[in-house]
Amino acid sequence: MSRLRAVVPTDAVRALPDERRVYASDGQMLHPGVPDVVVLPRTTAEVVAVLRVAAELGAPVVPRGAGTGLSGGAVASHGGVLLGTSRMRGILALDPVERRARVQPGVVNADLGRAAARHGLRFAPDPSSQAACTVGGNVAENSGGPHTLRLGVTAHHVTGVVLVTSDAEIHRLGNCGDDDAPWSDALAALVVGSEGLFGVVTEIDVRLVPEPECVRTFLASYVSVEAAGRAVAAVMACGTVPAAVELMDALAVRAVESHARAGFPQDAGAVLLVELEGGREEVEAEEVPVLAALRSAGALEARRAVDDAERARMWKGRKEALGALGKICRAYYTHDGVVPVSRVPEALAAMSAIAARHGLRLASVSHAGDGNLHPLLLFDRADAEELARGAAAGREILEMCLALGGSLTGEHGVGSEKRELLAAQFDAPTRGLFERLREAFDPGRRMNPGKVFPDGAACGETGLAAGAKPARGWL
Amino acid sequence: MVECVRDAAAGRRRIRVRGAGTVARPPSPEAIDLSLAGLSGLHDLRPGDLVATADAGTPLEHLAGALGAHGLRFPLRPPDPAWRGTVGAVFAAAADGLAAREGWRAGDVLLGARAVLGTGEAVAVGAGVLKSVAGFEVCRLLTGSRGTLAAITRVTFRVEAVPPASRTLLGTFAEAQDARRAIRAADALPMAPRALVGRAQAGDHRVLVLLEGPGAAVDAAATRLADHGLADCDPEVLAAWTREGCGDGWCTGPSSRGDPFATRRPDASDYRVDVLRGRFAAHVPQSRSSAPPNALFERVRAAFDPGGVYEAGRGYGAR
Repeated sequence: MSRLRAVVPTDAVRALPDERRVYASDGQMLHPGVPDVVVLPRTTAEVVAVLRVAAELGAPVVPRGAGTGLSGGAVASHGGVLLGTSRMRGILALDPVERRARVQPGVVNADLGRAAARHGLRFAPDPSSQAACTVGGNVAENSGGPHTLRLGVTAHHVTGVVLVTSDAEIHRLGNCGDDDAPWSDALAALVVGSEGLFGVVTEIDVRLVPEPECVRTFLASYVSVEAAGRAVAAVMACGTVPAAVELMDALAVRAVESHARAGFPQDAGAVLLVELEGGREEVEAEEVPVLAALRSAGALEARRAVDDAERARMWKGRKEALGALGKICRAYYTHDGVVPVSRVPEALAAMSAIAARHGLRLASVSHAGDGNLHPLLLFDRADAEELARGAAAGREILEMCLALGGSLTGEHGVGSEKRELLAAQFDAPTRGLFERLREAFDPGRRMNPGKVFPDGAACGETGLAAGAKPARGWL
Repeated sequence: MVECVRDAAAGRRRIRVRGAGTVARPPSPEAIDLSLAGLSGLHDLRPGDLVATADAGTPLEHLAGALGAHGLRFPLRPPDPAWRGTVGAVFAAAADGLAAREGWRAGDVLLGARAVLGTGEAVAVGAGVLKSVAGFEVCRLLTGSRGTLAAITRVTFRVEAVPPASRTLLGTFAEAQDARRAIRAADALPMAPRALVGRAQAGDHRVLVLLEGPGAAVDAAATRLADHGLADCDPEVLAAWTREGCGDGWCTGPSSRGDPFATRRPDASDYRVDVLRGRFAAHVPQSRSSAPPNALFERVRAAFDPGGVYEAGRGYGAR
């Protein structure tokens, strides 16, 4: 502790038990882990100093943004140093002509959005947690959000990073580097989605996109999630890529209406929120086939938001769905599987059946346009047996997604939550490549141990260098 | 393929990977010339998912035919129609071309890949769906690697619907400032142009704009640009410019890399865009040679090819 306090301001070090327990969980609260110490640096130099101390002590380091992640990726499951970026929240530069910004990792996604909006620009990745999540967290998980269907996920919008690796070396990559080098750009791209295993990102160079001239938002309701799923496939097949296609089932809709009064029909089996954006003539032309596609799947109703206020209410309802569901159950377990868009109807039906077989309620809130499903299994956290059924159902859902040709995770990351299933998606040689890439950045495997890779050999998986003391032994 | 790589590794030989050879330079005399042209075929096409999978040696013109039958197309247009490049080479060379949608370059279009590492191991990275964050972003690393990390054998990529309408506009200006005004106008369109390219050639300044989308939107945009001296031209002009590069003139295009916080170098070897500041750089579609890779990159490279089986020197630079 004294060594950390010698390199960062005293108030940046949190060591009391109550202070550390605040960081025990992230948005996935099932497997907490209390760090041995929390450090909140403000600059790249302070991050370097912290990592140098951690390296000397052989301590694991867990980078953490706002702690909104849903895969346990920001939890100190092996103790050690939790390095929070909440004090690194400067927008270092914003160039509206070049449509670029350079930010520290602790900048809240929505704050960057507001800064960009003053210039008619926006940062495209818009996770539902954007009011709290950080750009650094977006980089770690390669975050998506509803509007990344047309504009792309975080990786499409990051052009450079400053990365401090576990050996306290600074790497300026991509646009953050001095060299116009393809290999530097490639390394910057590789860092996105590395879930904190490659180092601590201390600066991010991002691309901003113009706000569209015209936005139209449509709400369609269906008798069932399967029918809504067929509508999703029909919309995606009509030749237009919407800005967003979001699906909510009846349980989610009722929860949202009791919480946010978004104007969703409470008697529907499912609703779709579809948004088009672009030039006015472009959107007006695309509206016709999209509405036809929505109606072709038997929409009970398909209407357009009459004004910005109604549009805002619809999106408030969608983005607050998880919070709304939290009010009707003691806990829920959110998954993030992806299936091919054409198989969304089948996947939705399968998810319902899996939940029913395990005696659990299921709510579905999904980025259905790219097949990214978010089934929420509702359970009583105080009931260990129900929790176990939830875990089993969640695993079956992810296995189902893989069986349909999908992926374990569309935006939440593997974290600790899904690491045991990594082998279900990637074969041994591929996992071996991932492991070697991790070791290329962090030979001692001290960065964010217990994440992405399943438990295997003892020392490697605890992230300790050979001969180093166990994490809790260095205090 | 696997056997070839393992034999090469065992015999301490180097391998130079190529597709149809349209991008690669000839291998060094001592290297094995490994052509993937025989790994050809559309493996899977899911029109409703906007995803296709093809073996790396599949010629783009064959792909175009298969996709076209479903009203789809490959999102990147690095070749002109006469180019016989392979789909694998497009990604291996990051050959985005001049009509890549901003934010959807080669590394963004590639969803998954199979490749043979220098160890002889066959890996499968990415996924077969539009969105996945499982595993590291190895596809982005392979894009532009030019066969120096691994031999890409199969690619899964995003496809797109053929737009209802397309118009190619060209303006020729005696004064650079008029060309810049035209570029600014195109850049400010509510419907983003699919291509926006400028070129100084033979004493004049030319601006080419490709508009794609619903007919009414394309026509409305073209009408706006007519006020800035842009008029319909043969769509082959874009293909010709792609084929020719930009010679010794300036060229704008999809920005491969912007750097707003440092002074731009008006260097002919610099492929950058600075449209609205009116400074331009030459278009260089070939691999850029610049600062040699650092130790971190070499460790990353070693993760793919610890024995140095794949010949380096292109893409990411020499060992």
